[in-house]
Amino acid sequence: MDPMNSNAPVQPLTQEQFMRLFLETERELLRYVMALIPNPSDARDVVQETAVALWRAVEKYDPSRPFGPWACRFALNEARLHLRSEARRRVQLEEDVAELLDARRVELAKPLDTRREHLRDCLERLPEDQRELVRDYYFNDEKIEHLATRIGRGTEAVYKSLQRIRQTLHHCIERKIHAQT
Amino acid sequence: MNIPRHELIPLIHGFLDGTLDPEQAASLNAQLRADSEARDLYLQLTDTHSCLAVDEGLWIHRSTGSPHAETDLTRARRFSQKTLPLTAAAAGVILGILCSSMVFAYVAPARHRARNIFAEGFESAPQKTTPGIPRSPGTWSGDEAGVSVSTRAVQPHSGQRMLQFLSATHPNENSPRSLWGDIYRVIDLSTLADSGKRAVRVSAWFAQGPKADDRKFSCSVHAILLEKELNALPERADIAELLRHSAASASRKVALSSGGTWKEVAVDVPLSPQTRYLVLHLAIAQDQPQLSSGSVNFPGHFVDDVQVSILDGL
Repeated sequence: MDPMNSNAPVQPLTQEQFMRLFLETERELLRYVMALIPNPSDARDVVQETAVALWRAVEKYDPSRPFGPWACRFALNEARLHLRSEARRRVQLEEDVAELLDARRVELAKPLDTRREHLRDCLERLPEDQRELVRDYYFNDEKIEHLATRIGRGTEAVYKSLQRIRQTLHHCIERKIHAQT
Repeated sequence: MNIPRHELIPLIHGFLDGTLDPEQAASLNAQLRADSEARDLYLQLTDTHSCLAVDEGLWIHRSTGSPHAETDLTRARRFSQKTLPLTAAAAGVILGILCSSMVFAYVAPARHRARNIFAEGFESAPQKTTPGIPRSPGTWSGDEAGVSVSTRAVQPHSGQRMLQFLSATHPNENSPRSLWGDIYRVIDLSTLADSGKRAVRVSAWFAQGPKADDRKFSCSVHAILLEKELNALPERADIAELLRHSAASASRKVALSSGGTWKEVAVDVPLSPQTRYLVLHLAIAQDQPQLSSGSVNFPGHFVDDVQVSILDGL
């Protein structure tokens, strides 16, 4: 169903109600969008566009239904628009692949939540220097070039380190899931 | 044909980091299109990447006995402003704004018509700020800041002058501890005609001079909308008090890099017909190191070209 064309009469949210709901959902929206657009800055732009689209369509939202899935449909639309508009400028997912991934992500929602719970443990088990690197890149939002200069390595080497660390985290999560089952 | 896992994994990681060339990206797309297991692996790796970027809870140690606990919690709070600009921060205090005010910090797309209602290039502004939060439109006040001409490292974003943040307190105030240099300006919005759904956009350009030490700084723009008369506020209202009385607010905080490069920071806030005033709050914050006492002096931090626009036709 097109999220913009719901015909049922609804009581529109007030501005405050809308903002509260959006606040509760924003982090999940960003996580959702990053499955298709992994660059955090681009993903944040898409979530911003989503916020504007949601605000514009707020009268159509039925408060008796969960806000998150409704908002995710708008986010998917905005992600598609982003992929189309950026298709010539940068390397990214093709739209049909994004659709396939989105469908599968819905099915994997619970397992991904379980993985996230394990991620924290795995992160704490990283050696301090690796944990610092991940924290500076993801958490403190340091640019790769700054990180490379600061630790006296090339950008290529820093990317490689980040990839190895993510892979280590992936294996750690897999082990924990395997141990649970 | 499926490619081996050991070739697929670097492609996914490269995609996450934005380092693939077009040929590699085509290969990844083809693989994801053809192979459901590849899609699952992609989603798992991407979700780890996403969680690292958006879930600040990952960085808070569970054990309160951890030597990192306080540092990480402090960082987590700061981080939440970056990922969730719907959270307001001011004067070094992170405020739970959900109690009474609303926050909305999204930069609207360029489809809207923007009417400029305020522009400040500091070309003819008073030389120094006055202390405190202003009680009427027309002046810059807050912590110590002064109009500056070009320095060796930083030239004004436009014109001949810019405003330099000097201290996280004011000579007439002497805050015992402050990491934030805050300046404020009140803009009267009460005369704007009601023209349907609209928003106010606040933007400002910030720059930092050469790095003199290991300190790290951020800049922030904070827009606070009031539906009350200013004289209805408590006599010595601070930023927390202002937010408690606000109808809506938005903030965005961005890390600064040294070298004199200008960086624009902007926020949008939906505007209700009852809005009377915008309190514009611009700040520089020392993010690291944290201080237990004393106030920060800013070695070379500037703002220029502050603009307020009304976005119609939302």
